[in-house]
Amino acid sequence: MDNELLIFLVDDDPMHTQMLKDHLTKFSRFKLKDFPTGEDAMAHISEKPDIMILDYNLNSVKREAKEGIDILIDLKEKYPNTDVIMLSGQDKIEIAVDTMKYGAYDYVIKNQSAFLRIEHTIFNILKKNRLERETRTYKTLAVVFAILFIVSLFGFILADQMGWLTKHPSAII
Amino acid sequence: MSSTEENLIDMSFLRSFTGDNKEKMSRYINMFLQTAPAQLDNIEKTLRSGDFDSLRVSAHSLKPQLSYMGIKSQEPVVRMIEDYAGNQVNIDQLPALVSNFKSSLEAAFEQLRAELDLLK
Repeated sequence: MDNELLIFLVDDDPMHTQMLKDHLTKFSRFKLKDFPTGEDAMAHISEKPDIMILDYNLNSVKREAKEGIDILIDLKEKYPNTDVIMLSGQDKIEIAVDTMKYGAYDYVIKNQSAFLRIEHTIFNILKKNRLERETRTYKTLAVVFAILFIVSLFGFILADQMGWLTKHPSAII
Repeated sequence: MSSTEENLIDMSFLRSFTGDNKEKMSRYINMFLQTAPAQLDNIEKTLRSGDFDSLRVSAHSLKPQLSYMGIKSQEPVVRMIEDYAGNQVNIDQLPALVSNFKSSLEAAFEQLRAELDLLK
């Protein structure tokens, strides 16, 4: 389905994942898949998620699991088009700056307002993607019109040099 | 809960988040009660063993859950435990901090169990 949006939820906190799933399932176009580790999510990355909601700390259950920032770097190298919303219980500015530096779209602190903020961020991503698509379409149209104009101009010059326009002046109109 | 006992939980966020859906509220409270005691044990265990990085991780992972369960009084405490363990500062204060945190959280667990009964 064209309008379906595949969202990966990557978090080792089952309660937060469940709450986020419950909050986002009210949007029927969102197809949600959850994973307790970044490695699990990356094993399914060929499904090309549109958005990944990724926890910064992913090793509270499996201590050997990769941290969210490492998964972000890995993902952005392989699939730069997947937008990432980074989650963390840390309200430290340096963590937010770090995640943005590695290509996260936004950083959301896990607290009571997190669910609404994530929802708004998803819609901002959709808006951004729509604008990018529209810009690409306008650029393509501009190129097509430029080519048509150049071809017409050459045709006109050629017709003029061949004296065709003086023989058929009504063709100019 | 007796009248002299401090109220440690505030269900207003959960009520608003679930649209006052008792089934959903019970599910979240149950999920918290299934995982939080083990995380609390882990905080104590890692403190005893001096594994401050694991202590920081356990404290960190409890933090959002305390917010959702409305255990507001313990949010700054768990943040302090996380900071002290993460930066390895004020280590001497950690045993008392963790001990008080444990007592308060266990009381909050009891209050949440009572809340579950009310939701039935």
